[in-house]
Amino acid sequence: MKSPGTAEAAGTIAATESRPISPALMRIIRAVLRYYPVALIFIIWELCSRLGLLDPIFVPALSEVLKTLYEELFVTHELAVHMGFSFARAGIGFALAATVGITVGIFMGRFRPVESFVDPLISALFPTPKLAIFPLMMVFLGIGDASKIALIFLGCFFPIVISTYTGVKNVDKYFIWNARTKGASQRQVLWTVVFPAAMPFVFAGLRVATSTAFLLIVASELIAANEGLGYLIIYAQRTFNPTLMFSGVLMVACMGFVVDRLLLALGRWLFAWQDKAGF
Amino acid sequence: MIRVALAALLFAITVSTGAVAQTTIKFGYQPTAPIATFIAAMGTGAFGKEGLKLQIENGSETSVLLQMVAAGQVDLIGGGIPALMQVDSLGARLKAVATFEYTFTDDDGYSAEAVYLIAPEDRNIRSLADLKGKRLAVSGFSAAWYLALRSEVKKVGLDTKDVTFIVVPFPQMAGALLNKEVDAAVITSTEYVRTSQRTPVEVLMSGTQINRMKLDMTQVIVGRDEWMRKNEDTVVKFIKALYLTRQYMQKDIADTGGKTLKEMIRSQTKFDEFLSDNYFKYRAGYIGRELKFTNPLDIPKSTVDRYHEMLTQGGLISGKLPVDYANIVDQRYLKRALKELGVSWDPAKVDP
Repeated sequence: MKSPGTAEAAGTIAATESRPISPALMRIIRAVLRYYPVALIFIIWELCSRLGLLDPIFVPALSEVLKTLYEELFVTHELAVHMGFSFARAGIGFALAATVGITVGIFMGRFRPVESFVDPLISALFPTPKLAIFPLMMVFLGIGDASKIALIFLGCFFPIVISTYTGVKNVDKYFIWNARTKGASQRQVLWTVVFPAAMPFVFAGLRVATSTAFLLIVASELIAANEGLGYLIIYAQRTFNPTLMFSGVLMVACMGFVVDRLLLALGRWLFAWQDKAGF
Repeated sequence: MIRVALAALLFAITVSTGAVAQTTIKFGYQPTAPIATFIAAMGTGAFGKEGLKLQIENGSETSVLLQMVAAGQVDLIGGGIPALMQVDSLGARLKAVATFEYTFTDDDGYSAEAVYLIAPEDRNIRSLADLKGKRLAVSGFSAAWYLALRSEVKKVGLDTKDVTFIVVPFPQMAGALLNKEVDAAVITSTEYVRTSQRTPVEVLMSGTQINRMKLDMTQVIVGRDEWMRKNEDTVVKFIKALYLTRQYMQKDIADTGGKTLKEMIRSQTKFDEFLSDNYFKYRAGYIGRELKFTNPLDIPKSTVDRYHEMLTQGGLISGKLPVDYANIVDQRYLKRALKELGVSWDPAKVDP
């Protein structure tokens, strides 16, 4: 015979076991499990610093870096200002590249003369390291924003145009024929069939271009700038301020990560129809 | 046939034995700020004659090289004193052992200035106060003149944020000025002459005026204290090579007007004839004149003291360790090198 207390406890346990974990908590648990290697690296970094295994002249403790990051971001706002400059340059270059790249990619995929004109140019210019021509850009466009925006434009243009072109080329011909059979004009086919069908490819190109934009903006600001995260990183390195330097590096990594995650979420939302349609 | 093979073998053994006898030094150098003594030393094989084999590692500016030497990536470097003070204050344990290159204007008016602060006349910059709201090109954030100017602009009532300092490598500064990318520049004396040929320029200050020094050093030889103590003979040989090179340079200047030196400058730096001649005039032709003020290759205490004062007042030393003359300069290697070469040390010239 069970005592009443034992029965009560058993009931409580059963209730707890059967209670479902909230979705929010599950998301947090999944995120922790997914990104635990990053957390592990951070813990090792802090431990090594505290044990004196890392020379603070080169690698300061993570806690010191985070402290500086907080101060520069929320107290002095210096980091926020530099972040703004980098974001603006990267954003303008990326937006220009997306506009021109998607347009050119669609035209390449749809019109043979455009394809035969642009394709050799892309084949020749795409493999050229864009950073290698930055000094030339500085000569023509100066050491200000124009050369950096042009560099990002060039770096982002190619992945976008190639993805868009591939997407347009891969649109199922039956969709187009079907639309044409039902009386759709060339423009309607382009806007209602080709473009939506090519969007997943376009989006993949945009995602690749985003990381390229971050890479190039920081690299160009390292070379010649008076503001921006790249400038901040090189300034901190040259003035023996490793905590500030690592703050800048962490900020760039965070920015890249957040933007990529946002793009991924946007992609999932935009292309939900693919899953529903079983593509 | 066998005789030829044996001779070849003997030659190979001799060469390889000779190579083994040489001590390799990894030396950090700034090719954008060439040093005449180093050019001449490479041209005459001075390091090889002392049994040293130099492995040159290029760096863009002093701070980069200081971090390389502190991390043990290189053994010795040529760099500026202010950045050395900054990094030593953080615990880098580096020491300066000899001067790599001097800069000064002597009592006869001979200019051996490394840099000038200039502005094209159309920018209407006549004094430091006029730099308010202007863009000023400097060679690096660890450059002595940049650090000194931060203090100097404050003295004329400006905030450092009133002037936009832009890092531009020396070779690109003239182009940046002419393209109106910057309004003024702390530019090398050779590039100053070249710029002034293309547009009228206003000279605001010379390098030594910016730093307020009679005798300044563009670069000194720096190494890790611990490494240098363990390799004292190597460091001494390195300094001997520098001293003997300067002797050679003095002789060449006296005998031929520096004809051989100019040829070395032209071939190693790839400067055109005009630039080579000007480089010689400002950065090589002075060799020997500095001896009126200082002992050969010595790092004058007054210069180090002035830098210390400048950085301390400007709040530019972030570390806590002391970085005065006694802590950052070690004369033992220079004194031993000069003694072994039979060169006397004049105590009266210790502090010009």
